[in-house]
Amino acid sequence: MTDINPSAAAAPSPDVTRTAFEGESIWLPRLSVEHLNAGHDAIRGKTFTECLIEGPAVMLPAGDVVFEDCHMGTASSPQNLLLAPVGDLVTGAIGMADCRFVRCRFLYVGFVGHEAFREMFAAGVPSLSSLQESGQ
Amino acid sequence: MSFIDPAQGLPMTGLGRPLNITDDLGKRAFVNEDMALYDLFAFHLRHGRSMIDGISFTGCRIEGPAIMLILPGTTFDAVNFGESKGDIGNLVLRPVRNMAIGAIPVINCTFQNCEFHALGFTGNEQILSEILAIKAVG
Repeated sequence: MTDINPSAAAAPSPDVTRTAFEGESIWLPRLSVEHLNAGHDAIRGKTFTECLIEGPAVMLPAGDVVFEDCHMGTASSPQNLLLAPVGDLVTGAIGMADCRFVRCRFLYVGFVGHEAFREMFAAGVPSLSSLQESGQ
Repeated sequence: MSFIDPAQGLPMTGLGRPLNITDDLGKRAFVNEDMALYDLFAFHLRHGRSMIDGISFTGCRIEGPAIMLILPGTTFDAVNFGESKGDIGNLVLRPVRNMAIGAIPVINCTFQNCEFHALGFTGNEQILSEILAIKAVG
């Protein structure tokens, strides 16, 4: 398992009305719970720029979630970052919609979605071996 | 922190008692105490442990949002796995390959008379098929 340090756990409570985060550590479970407690069923309409997005969490990108130049996590294959739903609904994942991640790094975060999402995700994330070959 | 905000009053759990958030995540045995699974995992990580290993939970409410990676030696007895909206498959995620990054590994733990809230579950095919078989009950 990845050894992580949830340094964002001690961060101040996030304001659910904020729409822009830059250069911050975001503990995804906490951000999610803040939104759930505020009556939001998902994290919507945020832009994260150069943030460290920390789990443990499994993200359910649902509608217009964009990843630009992000490091999605350390895995020998991007498929190792993915889970597939068994039923029509997903429980326990953190729903996100209309969010943009720019040059962010994900740590101990998995991703769940249906087949089309998984294929797109796997195609868009270079594998660790290919990064090593290119010297990144 | 809890899924339910204590400042707004502690509601009843489905266990016939009010929410009782544990004040010691370092215990090896929890009885009638409640917690968020990610808080418990973060506690163990801070203490150099990469898994939740060998803990017993009796009469506890375990909250997400989180995905539990069920590893060998973990058992469930008289447990409410949570709201499944009529299909236990809605609580189950299947790893696409052979890892479950982002899920919280739970090994050699016992859950007795517990209830889960906003938790999903993953594991190997044998474990997943055992959970999926729950829908045949009742």
